[in-house]
Amino acid sequence: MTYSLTPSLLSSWQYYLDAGEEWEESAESDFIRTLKREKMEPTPAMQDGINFENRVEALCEGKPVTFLEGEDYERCVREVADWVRGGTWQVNTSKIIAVDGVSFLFHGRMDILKGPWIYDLKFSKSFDIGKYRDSPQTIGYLACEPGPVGIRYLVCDGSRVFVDEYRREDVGSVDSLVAEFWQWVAALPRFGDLYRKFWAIVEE
Amino acid sequence: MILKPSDITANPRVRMVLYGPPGHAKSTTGLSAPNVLFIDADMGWKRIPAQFKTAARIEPATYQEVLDDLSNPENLIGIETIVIDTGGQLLKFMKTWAINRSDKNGQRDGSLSIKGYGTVGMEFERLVDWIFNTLKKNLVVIFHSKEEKDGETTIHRLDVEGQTKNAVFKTMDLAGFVETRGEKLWVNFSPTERFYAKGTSGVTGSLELPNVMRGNKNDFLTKLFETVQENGCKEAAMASQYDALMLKVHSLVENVDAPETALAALRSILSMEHVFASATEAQRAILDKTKSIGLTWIKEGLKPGEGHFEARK
Repeated sequence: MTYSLTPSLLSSWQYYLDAGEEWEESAESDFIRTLKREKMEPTPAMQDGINFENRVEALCEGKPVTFLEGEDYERCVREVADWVRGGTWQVNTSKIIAVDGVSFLFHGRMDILKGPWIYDLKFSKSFDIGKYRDSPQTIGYLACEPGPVGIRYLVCDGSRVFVDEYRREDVGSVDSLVAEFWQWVAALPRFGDLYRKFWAIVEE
Repeated sequence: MILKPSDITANPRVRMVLYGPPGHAKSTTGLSAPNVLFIDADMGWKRIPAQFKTAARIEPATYQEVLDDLSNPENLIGIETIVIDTGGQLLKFMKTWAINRSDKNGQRDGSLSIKGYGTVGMEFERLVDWIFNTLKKNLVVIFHSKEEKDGETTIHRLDVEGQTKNAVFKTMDLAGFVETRGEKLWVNFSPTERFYAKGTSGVTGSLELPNVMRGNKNDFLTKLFETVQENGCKEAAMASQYDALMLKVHSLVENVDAPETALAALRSILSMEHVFASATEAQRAILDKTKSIGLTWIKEGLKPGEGHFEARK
């Protein structure tokens, strides 16, 4: 049996594990909805991220872009576009990982691939350097794509752009991350059953 | 044009942050860089052992003095590296400078406004860029660290206010956290859950600082910069190879107009010696092109390239 596994599912799991008492209930509910593959409406924060990314992409493609958010925001979009112009957008990537005789298809979509770097665009008001070191995107995408030297997160907080970057040799192993997830989820039937039901890949 | 840190270019110079707790030989290590001009913003010169005080030095009291001293070409004759000790004090100078420039940068209690933090962050980036690209010097900025608790873990951060630390790291090729392990001092260039760090070409993990008090030569950063430059040249050569290869790919893909030319382009791409992400990017380019002209790939085997293109029905 092969199971599908994505950075968003792993992030949702990590968020649940790290949630303090105050957030535990909502984090668990989000994790269960992710396990059930329920379509979720983008939150305002997610929509901010989508809008930002769309502007950067449009600018890179030479399309006309209007900015109603002010000069600082426009400067951020232009700065990020300068970093990623010429790259390949929305690149699917995947890797098969075996844990305890079970096979997992880890897959995701990288924002931009450009030579030595994988780029991921973020719009976050609460960025702190080092935030994405243990992100499943950092660990997973570098495992899937053997060519780039590292991954760079270009983070806009609305008025500034920050860079959080990790070179390949400095990130953890995706095999360990997947093993940790599988051992955890398999030990808890209320989560494990949902994972098996909704994430099993049906062989054609 | 502002050059981005760690872009793959054979850059002959290095920008770095060195941070850690007090008493960890950071200033002495700063002086191990080649031909230093030491900007003693923190008045810490007196604490450096006499035998290492070999550098030219300025003792600014304001940010404007830093700019004026660095703008005087006579001060930079024979200088290869600017060392700022400490970056935290420099940012304090910049705070006053920013508030004097515009009331909007400050608050009534004398602290920076949100706009003021932005101004200081951008000015720090501008200063780094000016020293690196216009004055053409290496740059080492020394910071103290502060400790914060996250559950059981002690986290070490740059001792600066707010989001300024994000701006500081952004501009640097290298960020090393200095700590004591056993009786030795180490500089860490790989990030961990305890601290952020940043490596670059061939510089990663932990490097032991030589004990210069026991007679070792104080040349740690000089040697480190040589390593960065050597490895940077190798990566820059790969980057040139990548650029040339992608030009060829785009030219091949542009000429695809039928199943036969698509197959020839794909096979040509598969036979290339790829570098960095070129294999994935090239395959995606041909996929996008064939899709746009209505071709479908018919797979005939397990190996890449085993198959043919057909016009979509």
